[in-house]
Amino acid sequence: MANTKTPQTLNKPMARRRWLKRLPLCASTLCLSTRFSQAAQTHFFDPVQLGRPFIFPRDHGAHLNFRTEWWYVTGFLAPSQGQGESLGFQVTFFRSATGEASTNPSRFAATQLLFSHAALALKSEGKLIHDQAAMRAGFDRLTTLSEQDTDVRSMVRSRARFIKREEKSPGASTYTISVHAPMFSLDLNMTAPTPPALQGVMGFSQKGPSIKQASHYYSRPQLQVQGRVIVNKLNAQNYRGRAWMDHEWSNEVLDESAAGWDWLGLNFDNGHSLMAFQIRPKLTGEPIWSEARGFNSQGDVDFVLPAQDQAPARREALKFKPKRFWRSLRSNALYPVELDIELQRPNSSVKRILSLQPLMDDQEVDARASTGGFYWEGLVFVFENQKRIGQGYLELTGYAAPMKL
Amino acid sequence: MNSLLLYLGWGVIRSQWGRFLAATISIAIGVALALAIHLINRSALDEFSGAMSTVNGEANLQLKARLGRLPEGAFVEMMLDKEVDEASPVIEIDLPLIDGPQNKPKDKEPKDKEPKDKGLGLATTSAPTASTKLKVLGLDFFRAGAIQPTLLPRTGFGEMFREDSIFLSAQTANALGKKVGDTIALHGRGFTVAGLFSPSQDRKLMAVMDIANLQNLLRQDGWLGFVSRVDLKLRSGVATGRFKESLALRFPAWIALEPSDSVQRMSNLSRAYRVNLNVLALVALVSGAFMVYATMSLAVRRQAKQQALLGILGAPPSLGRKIVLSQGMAVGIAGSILGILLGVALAYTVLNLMGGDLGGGYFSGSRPELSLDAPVMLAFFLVGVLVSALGSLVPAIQLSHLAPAQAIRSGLDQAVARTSSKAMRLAIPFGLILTLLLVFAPAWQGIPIAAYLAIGLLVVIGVALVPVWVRLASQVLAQHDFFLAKWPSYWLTSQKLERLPGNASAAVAGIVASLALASAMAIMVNSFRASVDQWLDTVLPAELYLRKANSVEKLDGNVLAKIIKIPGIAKVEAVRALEFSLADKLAPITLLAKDFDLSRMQKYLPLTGATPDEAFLQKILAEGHIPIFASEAMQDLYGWTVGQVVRLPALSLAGKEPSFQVAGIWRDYVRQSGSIVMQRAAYATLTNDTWVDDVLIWISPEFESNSGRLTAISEQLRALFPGEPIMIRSTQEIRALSLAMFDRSFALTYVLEAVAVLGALFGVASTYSGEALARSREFGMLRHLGVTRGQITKLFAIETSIMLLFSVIWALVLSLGLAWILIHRVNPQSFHWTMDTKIPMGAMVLSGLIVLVLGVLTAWLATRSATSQGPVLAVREDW
Repeated sequence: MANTKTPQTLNKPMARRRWLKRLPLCASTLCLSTRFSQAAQTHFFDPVQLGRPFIFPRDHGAHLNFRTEWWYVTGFLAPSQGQGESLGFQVTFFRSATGEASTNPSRFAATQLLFSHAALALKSEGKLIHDQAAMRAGFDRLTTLSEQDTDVRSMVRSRARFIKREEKSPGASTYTISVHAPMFSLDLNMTAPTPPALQGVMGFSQKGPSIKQASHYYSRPQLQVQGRVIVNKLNAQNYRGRAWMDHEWSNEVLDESAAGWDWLGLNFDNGHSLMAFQIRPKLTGEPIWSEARGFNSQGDVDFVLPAQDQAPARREALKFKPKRFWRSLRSNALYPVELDIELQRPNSSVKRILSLQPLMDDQEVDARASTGGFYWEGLVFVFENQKRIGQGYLELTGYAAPMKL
Repeated sequence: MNSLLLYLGWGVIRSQWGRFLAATISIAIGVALALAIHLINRSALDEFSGAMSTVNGEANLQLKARLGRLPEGAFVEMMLDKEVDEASPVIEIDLPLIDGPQNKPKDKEPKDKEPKDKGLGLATTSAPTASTKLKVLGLDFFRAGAIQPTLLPRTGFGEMFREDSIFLSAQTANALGKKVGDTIALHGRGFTVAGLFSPSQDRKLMAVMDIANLQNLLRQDGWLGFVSRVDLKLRSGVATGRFKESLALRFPAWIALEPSDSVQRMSNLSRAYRVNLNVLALVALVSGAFMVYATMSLAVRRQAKQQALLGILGAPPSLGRKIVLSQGMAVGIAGSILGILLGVALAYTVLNLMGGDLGGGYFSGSRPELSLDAPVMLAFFLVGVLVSALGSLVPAIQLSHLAPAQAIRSGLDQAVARTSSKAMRLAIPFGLILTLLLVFAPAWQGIPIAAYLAIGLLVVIGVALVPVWVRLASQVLAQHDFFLAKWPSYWLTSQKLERLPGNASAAVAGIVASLALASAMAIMVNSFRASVDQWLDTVLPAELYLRKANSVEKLDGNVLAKIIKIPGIAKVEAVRALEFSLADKLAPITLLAKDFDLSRMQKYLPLTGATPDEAFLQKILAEGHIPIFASEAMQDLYGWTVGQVVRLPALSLAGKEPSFQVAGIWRDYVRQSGSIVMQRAAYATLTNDTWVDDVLIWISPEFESNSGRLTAISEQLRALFPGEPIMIRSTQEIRALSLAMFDRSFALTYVLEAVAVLGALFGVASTYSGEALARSREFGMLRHLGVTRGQITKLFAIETSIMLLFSVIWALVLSLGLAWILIHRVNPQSFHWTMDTKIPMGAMVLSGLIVLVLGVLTAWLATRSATSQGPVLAVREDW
């Protein structure tokens, strides 16, 4: 039994926020503390800087001089014709620069690692179906990490798993993603109706009190999706829907006092969209950092909550209020699977309350073997005044047993 | 009836418990030795297979290059193959472990590190027993997860890929006294033990590191771009056999092997050696059988009168037979149980003290745990019982042929003498014919079973012939009036021997059997050693040999040009040695690319048979073939013959398929799985591989005798390789090393022989003391006739000496035949090499004399105590 478990060790999916937390900490504490025997080949990553201009299409591509980077697609799909089960999907490509082996001439040199993870949320299944793969980049025929545009590819079981951006007409982004896993396959085309939506200050997204705790981050909300999904359980094959893509790169993000992270990206039926996150402390109390950013149907910023300084008074403007908890039998973690997001726009007395309802309670991912814990990431529907106004993905981390470092 | 049997049988055992105990112990020793050897070998093989399965994990197939290393592109191809589920690239290499951060003096040559000398074809298959090697596996942890899960260290990515990270198996960490965070020096640099992993079975020293870091570490040796193999897990539903076929078509230079093949290969390779040891151990059991035979014969003679009385009282004739057989069985059962206990204890002790290698070098450095094997233990038990039963069979038959009326008066002696010799006359010629047939039968699965049976049969026939010779000889003796007149005791002896040769043969059967076998082994080993010695002359033509101290590394061919420039060096040649597979189930063969002059072949290679003439070589070249010289093993294993045109897929590059023609057969005492020699120039043209493994250096005559100049030369040689560990050895050193290794692999053989002969001497003591007791009536009668006790002892000693002299001479004669089978059948069939017979006359005569003297001495001592009884008492037995 032990033998059959270990293989997945390295291929376990990683919640992006877990990922954020893990690698920098490894670098700053464990790795450095054992690095005494020789002159350390310190690898200097490019810093995340406020005011760094985004230049597209180059910034759609990989940023190999940053430690961590991902292309993270989440979305909702319904059968193109007729009746059938709708579903949530998540496809992620993580890139990680190890900071090691930069001088090693071997083509196996683990300078850049590429992880891919895909999950489907089907209510009839009762839990997530997912698949993951890990590769070291170095063999051109096995991995691609373009620095010119979004073109990330990894050969998994002789099939290419990829995300690729193309421009059919100037400024009109189309993304193709393909994942073929033993349990399911996805081949999707996604068209972006708006230009990239820069998060934070011109794409500089701060995640904590220190200016270092930040990433370069833009989103592609309201992606129009169509394509094929094949799962044994489903009789339909052609699907349509809406998705959200994040492209984010950074070196060191999470504050040490943080326990976990709640993140959501919502596409509203009226074309608007919302990204919100909060970083929770290990001890109970106010969030360490939080932000909500609304975009209108043109992709322009509608509102930002709270303001940059995170003054306590203004934090009241954004609240994550748990409404219902679900306890996982796997991890014994208690997740707030139903949340109310309370938003109070500046200079407005109206408080909007967005209620999030999960597609199903069990959308937990077991990542014990790799990141040492569990997290929850799933499709949610958004209700306002009892009316369904959109859907999106919610990610909840740090709810299981305290993370081991 | 049964209780009567028990009562009578037990009564006899009780009255002669000393001899029965001796017989029991000799059976026990035979069983114990054979079982211990089997268990040690089996444990070593089990460990090997465990290690293999740890390293191979759940791979369906292993992709290797037919020749040398596998280009890493093979990994890419396999990752892209639709039928492959997972492909895990692996570099597997043994690196010498330098304990501590290189505080050892650099200029000191690591002399005993690497006596195995592939390139030159020196030494035996042994590797050093002092294991300072660490098996290092370079893995892509992401790929290995699905195939070798137990090799994955339990750490984060940060540690996994760090340049100085190494992961030890839990057992290795224990053995080296290292824990996580400690440093370890390997291949000239320091590593940090970054974590542990726990393979379930392997007890060898083993470590794992990132494949890229290992490639980089070994980049000087050209590992960048190469791996040892790619382990494959095929998709479900893909047939392994069909996949292998399609792979062979697409990539002819690569070969996919099933992981079980390597265990199979090891088993095949070492099988002959293991069986040989077992057979030798069984020789001790044969001594035991004769011991039982002698004991039972005596017991029968002592019981004869009781049996006869029982017969007259109406007991069926089978009763006596049953009693004797059950006594034999009792000895066998007790001896076998004792033997099995002893064997397990012995195996356990040897494994813990010395490890799993018994000198053959197949399992050197292994420290296996004892793995018990119930069916085999049962088999050894049964063999022990069977052997003992066989030993008592002849006396039992004799007893059942007893004519009671006669026996009750004169005992067994006369009653039996006639019947047995009649049966012998028929059995012996039949046995001889059978032996001849067996001698020329082929080996079965690489084991010379028939030859061993022939040896066994020949020993039995030899023993059976003893009474015939004794009678013939004593007839001759009896005709010499001179002796008779001068020496009455002599006359008595010859009369006795002539009339009752059967008794005599019982006494010396064990001596004949064990001495013949031991002497035959000695002839074989002596011949082998002499042949190896002579062979070394040819394969070591130069004065100095240079190679990398680390066996895994090779030398840049360009260095030859620099070496020849050193003053005092007359000539430089080089050898490139590579292993490759020709057949899945057989161990890889070795290709030796040497510098040599085709027309003077016999100077470079110890050829067997005719030296190829100029015309033949010219014809080979004219027809566009490349001449190669195959070792004898290639003949046996692959059926190659001189003149045959062969293809070597390993040397086929894209578009080119060179053909090779066997120009001659050479004798190779190193690589029993086969080897091929070709010219280095031809090899380099084919493969563009100009690396070399060994450099042969000839010194100019004027430098040769000057040690100061020799030192200067070796210093200049070292200066050519700054910072690299270089090993320079003289011919004498290599020769001494090789012979030492030869002796080590036969050390156990000597021990087993000694045990067999000692056992036989033990038998002599036991038999003669019994014989003396059995003949106390005869001796008593002689006393009544006025012969003194001293004279009787002398009489008996003379009788013994004559008998032992016969046995020793006969045993030595017999051993010539046995040695012929060992040399010409067993060795070629087991190891695929031949040797020239060389009889160690001096040693044979000496050992014969020792046996003779010790035998007479033991017999004399035994008689003295037996004749201490007063004459009246002795004759009273005649009631």
